[in-house]
Amino acid sequence: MKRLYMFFSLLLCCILHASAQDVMVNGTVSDEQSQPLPGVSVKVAGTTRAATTNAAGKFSILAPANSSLVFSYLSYKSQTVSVNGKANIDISLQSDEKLLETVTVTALGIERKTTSLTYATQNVSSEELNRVKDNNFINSLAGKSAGVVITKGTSGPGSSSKIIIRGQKSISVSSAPIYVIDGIPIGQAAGAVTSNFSDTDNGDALSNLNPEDIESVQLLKGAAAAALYGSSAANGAVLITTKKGRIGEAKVDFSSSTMLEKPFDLPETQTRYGRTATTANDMWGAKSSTGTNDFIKDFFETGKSFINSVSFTGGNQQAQFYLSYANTKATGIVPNNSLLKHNFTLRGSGKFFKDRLTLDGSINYINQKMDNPPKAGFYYSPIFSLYLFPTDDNFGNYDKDHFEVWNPTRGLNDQNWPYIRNEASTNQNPYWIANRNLNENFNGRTISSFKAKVDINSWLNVLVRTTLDINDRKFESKNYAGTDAVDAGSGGALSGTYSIRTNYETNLYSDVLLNANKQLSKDFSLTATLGASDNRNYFNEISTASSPTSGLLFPNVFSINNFNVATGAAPFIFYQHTYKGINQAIFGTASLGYKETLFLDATARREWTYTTEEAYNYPSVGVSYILTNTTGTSDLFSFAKLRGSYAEVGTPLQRGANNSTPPKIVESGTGSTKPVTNLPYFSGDFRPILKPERTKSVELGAQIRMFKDKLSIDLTVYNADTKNQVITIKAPAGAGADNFILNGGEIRNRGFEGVINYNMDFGDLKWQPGLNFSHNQNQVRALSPLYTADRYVISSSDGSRLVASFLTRPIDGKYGSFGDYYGRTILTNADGSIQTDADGIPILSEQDATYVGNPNPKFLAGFNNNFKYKQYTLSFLIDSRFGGKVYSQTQAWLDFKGASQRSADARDAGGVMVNGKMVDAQTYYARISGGGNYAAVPEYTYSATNIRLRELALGYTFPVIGNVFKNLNISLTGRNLFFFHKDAPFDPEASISAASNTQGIDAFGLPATRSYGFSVRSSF
Amino acid sequence: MKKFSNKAGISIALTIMIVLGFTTSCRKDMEGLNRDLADIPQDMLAIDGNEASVMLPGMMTNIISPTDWVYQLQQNLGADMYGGYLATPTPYLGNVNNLTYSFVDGWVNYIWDTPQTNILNTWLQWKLLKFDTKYPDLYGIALICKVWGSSRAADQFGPIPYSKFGSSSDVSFDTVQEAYNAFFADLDLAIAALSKFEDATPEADLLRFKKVDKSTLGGDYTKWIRAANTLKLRLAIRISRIDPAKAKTMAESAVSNKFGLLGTADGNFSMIPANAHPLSTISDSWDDVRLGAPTSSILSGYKDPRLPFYGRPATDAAISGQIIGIRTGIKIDVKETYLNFSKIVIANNTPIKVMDAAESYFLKAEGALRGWNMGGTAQSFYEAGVKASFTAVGASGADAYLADATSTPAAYVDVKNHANDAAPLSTITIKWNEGDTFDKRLERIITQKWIAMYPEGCEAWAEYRRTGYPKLYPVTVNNSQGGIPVGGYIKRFPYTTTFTNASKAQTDAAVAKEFGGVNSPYKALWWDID
Repeated sequence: MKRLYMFFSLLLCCILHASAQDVMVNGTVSDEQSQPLPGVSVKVAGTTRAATTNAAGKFSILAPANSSLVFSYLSYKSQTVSVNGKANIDISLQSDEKLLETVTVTALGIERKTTSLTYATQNVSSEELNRVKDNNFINSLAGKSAGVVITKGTSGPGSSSKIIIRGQKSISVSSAPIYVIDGIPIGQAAGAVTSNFSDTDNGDALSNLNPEDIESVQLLKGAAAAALYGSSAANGAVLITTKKGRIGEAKVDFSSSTMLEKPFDLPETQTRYGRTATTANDMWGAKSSTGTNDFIKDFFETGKSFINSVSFTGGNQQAQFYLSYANTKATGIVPNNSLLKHNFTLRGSGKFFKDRLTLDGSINYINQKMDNPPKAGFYYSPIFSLYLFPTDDNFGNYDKDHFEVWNPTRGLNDQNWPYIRNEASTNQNPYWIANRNLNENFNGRTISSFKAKVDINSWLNVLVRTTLDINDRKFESKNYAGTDAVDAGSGGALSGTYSIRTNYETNLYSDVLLNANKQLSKDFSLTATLGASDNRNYFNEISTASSPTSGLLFPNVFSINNFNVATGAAPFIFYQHTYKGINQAIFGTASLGYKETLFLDATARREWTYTTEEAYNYPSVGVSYILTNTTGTSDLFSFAKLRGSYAEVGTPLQRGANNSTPPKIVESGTGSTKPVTNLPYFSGDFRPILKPERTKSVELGAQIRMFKDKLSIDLTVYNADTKNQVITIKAPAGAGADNFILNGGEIRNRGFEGVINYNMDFGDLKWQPGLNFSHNQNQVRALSPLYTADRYVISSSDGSRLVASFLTRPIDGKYGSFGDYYGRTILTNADGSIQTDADGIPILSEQDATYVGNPNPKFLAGFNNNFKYKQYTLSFLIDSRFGGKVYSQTQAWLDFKGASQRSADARDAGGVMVNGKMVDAQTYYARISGGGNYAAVPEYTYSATNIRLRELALGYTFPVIGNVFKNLNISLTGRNLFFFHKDAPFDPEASISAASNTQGIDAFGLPATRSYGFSVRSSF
Repeated sequence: MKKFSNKAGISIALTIMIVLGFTTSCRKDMEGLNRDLADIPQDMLAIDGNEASVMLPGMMTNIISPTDWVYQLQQNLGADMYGGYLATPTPYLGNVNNLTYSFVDGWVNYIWDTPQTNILNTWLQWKLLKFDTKYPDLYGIALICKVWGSSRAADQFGPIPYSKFGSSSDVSFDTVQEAYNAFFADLDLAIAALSKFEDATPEADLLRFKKVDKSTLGGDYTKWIRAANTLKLRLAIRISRIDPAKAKTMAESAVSNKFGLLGTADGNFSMIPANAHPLSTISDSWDDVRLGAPTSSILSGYKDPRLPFYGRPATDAAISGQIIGIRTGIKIDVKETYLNFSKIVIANNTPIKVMDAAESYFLKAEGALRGWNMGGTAQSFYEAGVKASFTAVGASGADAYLADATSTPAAYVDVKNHANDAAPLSTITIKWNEGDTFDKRLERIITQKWIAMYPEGCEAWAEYRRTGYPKLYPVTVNNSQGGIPVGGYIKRFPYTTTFTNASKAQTDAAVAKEFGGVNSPYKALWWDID
């Protein structure tokens, strides 16, 4: 497009050209803010004479006195200025927003005219991403894009976030989108299926990138947009375009961000009543006057995060380079939790053979060390023992200086904690967990990328790309002698445990694309791509751990060489996993344009995945129509476009899902082979073949710009039916497997989303408000006729100790949705009174019996605002979600232990009223909390609706200082500052894991945090 | 233009060639995809019958799970304590749990899930892979494991899917009677297959079976046949009251089998733990199990020389030095209260007892008492059983013990809470008296069998329900919300979500058929008649 534009400019200049005397013309080129623009191309019209502006925006060129100079610069409107004998020409270039918009990066990195797109995409710029930084930049996308739900993990800095676009499509397989860097898929976002409460969060594929390297993020939300990714496209795609070298004099960019993070919404445990006995870890005893719960807030530290980055870029028309380094150093709110990350990027690109060949290569090296990410739940969870510490006891006896005591006989420190013998699970000193139950995770990652493009002629080119992503990870865990035997085993409690797991993973992606872009006739234009890709993955993992019974030989020496091999038949535990996978595809895409008004779009992909025998085809078609090209533009409507698309995409089967005689796994401890737990569905001898999931998706949209482009509105409605859902369900008793994998159902996600932006201009004051909103309805439309039960058990409450997740067969036109939870409730009589036992205590229903809610939001809205006044900028983002329910097991435990405020209030009142009779508070709360587990769920259910100030940034850009600092900007920033509205006693967005079957449950997760800080950025 | 077109044509051709190259050349790389390369593929196991025998260790070691926490849920926090042997000082879930008759779903599930996952599902793989006909001898072992694991589950829940197991994706449950008939049939099949093999090729077991035998029977088919015969006799005795004719037939055929029953020479049928006996972890690392009050009061009343081999002296200051256990189902506020009552005697490398060798003598004693042809008198088997138990435990003084006609079980005194004090459970003495009533002689046999079988609570609880012996203490805290009447003793585990979630219709049908539609813990099993 740009090429075409320049061509016309040149043509224009040729006509105007007339020979005359040469003069030396000097001058400065600046932007609208009077900042100098380096790298602007200055050409004498109609000739090959050219110059480029330097870092100060200055140029000099010899030009005929009656000639014209053409100033052109990427994403700015070109200007032509007559020389007229002048020796000095200073001009200011205007940025061309339309030009900026005209090209959109789509699947496979193919650039397409934005006007021709037949589906919705949304772009988030580098500036928006980096305005208020987060250790995981994915979290910075929250609230900025319609239909995208981002849930931050709770394992401190470096934890992975869950991202779901347009609703949960897959039940058993992840519903997370694929991540793509510069056209190359690098894997799926976090969102593993299986999880339990003691899992460690190991981060995900994108979170460890340097956000400063990112030029922009493009969200491909619908199946049609991502259809070229075929079997990986069902959940949408997150496309990352990284920065590359720029033409012009060498330039240095520096940015520094400092953020402080503080917890809020801590539970208010009661302080009026104490323990029943000095050794009892409860608060059901007599009144106490010494109670305090200050230790809870004192335990948490101020999380600090320092992100510093510097980049160098420069080059000429022939070759450019980009070099960057970023350093992230963060500590969490739990003591001893930290993240240290180094990112190096080197990228070079150049043109050869008269610009016919373009080469582009880059290397990214990431070195990340994550220490002691805190765990939620019941094992090794510092939060559990902290929240339940009796408020009448003195925490000072067990604090950071007293969490261990010297054992003179052994010559080591033992854990100092009076409640280590808790009744149901383990209970350790939170400082011991933080300092003596260590987890050290390391990832060394190299992404090497190479691209070559050969222009065959003006409309045809061949692009060859290859990317090698190597991950070298190490996970170590060290438990010191003195750790509770429930966690570490008898040997571990005596001498400590050690485990080390290393894995090595490579992902080699290569493709070749033949791209055509041709004006076929006066009216018809064609953009087309034909290509093939090959993606191979290799994974090898080795793990060894000391056995819980044998522990280590010499206490607290953490090495494999110190395994206590003399005792026990199985002194250590070990395993190995080796996987390889190959996926290949051929694909093509074509977009036919008619008079730049009507565009017809089609893509096709045929894919061979190694998890299925057959190859599968994934097609898409779309059409877009620019209404205003027919009706003409007016002051009211400057642009209007309608679009529609249809796509069929898939979700691949998981490795081995189709294998009914899987290989044997020998258990290291016993030497026995493990039983096969998950098998493809069978009934007697009948075994259907599993097919990959297939999503058929339709979307319709309209894009309108009004009031001279001031107001822009983009609306989309969509319907995505995912059939052949691959579901892993609990098999019925006696069926012959623990779990069946089957093509079990059909899920529909239907909804709408919209983006509305406005540009207000009050002279010096500019205001750009933006609103995005979305609604998604998820329905289980059908369950497989193969297995006829009325409900499919996705997970039972044993996994969460609170709720079970079922899929239900539609009955009388009523549809369940994915994520529907079932649990216990308080039983009521027909007259509405509560059913009670002989003591007047409520009776609970059977476990997993009753529908209790669904955690998914009904409506999401983000309201983004940017103000600009002269050198000042102010931006804030209000993010809201409506509907959905969240469950708190933390609250159930606080009730059970007599630690909740309401349990104290009940005691003050002499008990709890049940059916007009006063019953004992302790008995009542023990019953409804289910002893902490298997509680009456509605008692601990909250609306997830919340409205929060997600981001706030106030910035000032200094005028050029001494020609050295350019664009020096200082900003004050804040994240998650406060809630305008919230129902739950905790942040409903905090999930204990990124897994889909434990969403919406808080079980001693980290509290929500508020962060604030400042950032400095400048160019040299 | 022509020049351009030619070039374009060449490029397109080249691209297509590369594309084809991509998708066709790499087929040999496709080997080993879609599985974990570090695991052992089925086709590499065809030597020595390994493809079949590889499945046996997981089956036999999961009759009782060797995994500490699974054992705790499958066996310990239920059967071991309902059987009276053991007790816990821990007030799980605010003392509202299995032991006070409020059933914790997440625990009880393992009583069925453990044998289903490890034994029954694996057994189905034998059938689907046709290994039952290819390796009939090894399949005989698999069948013994199958009956063993399933009969334990059936004795705890009642109807289970058994005879139709795996025949469709949603099978109906067997009634207890149907299941028992199927158990006998499967055992006969196993005994016949193993006998045939042992007669033809006596050394075959050494090559094919010894390396995978995780039990104390050392890979000897003849000993496994004896174990199967003893199990058959146990099951026959179980139905002796409800179906005396079938019981007599089965019992006599078990006893008359030429390989005979387990005896002192074979030792107990136990599994060798790979890591540690789960009870040693549960006792010494987790402090979640202690000696049960019935064990200490019955054995101390009898001045039983085996008591020091079962329990250690308490370290609680109030009862220091005495061997005193804890009652199950009592009021416990904090764990510390009973923490220092008698620990159990257990070592890391103690094998996990599935069946005590002495049980076969007591089973024959009861058979003889019932007038069946057991090849001896009730008295002879009773005394042989006590001696076998003494030998197995390593205690001495069996003769003097058997001559004791006066000692009776002792009273129980709970120094922490005298509300739990209880009079002696029974006045039954040790010395055999042929002139005693049938019931008294039965009580004597069952009491001594109970002592010998320690600590395998599953069989103890089943026999308690069948015979009422030895008498055990009722719970004093009953959280069953009316499910079990005050003073009542649990008769079965109600079906949990492991059954009801995925097999609701079949579970409801079984409950309707067998228990009158009430999934109650106080509904008696088929063989449990008064």
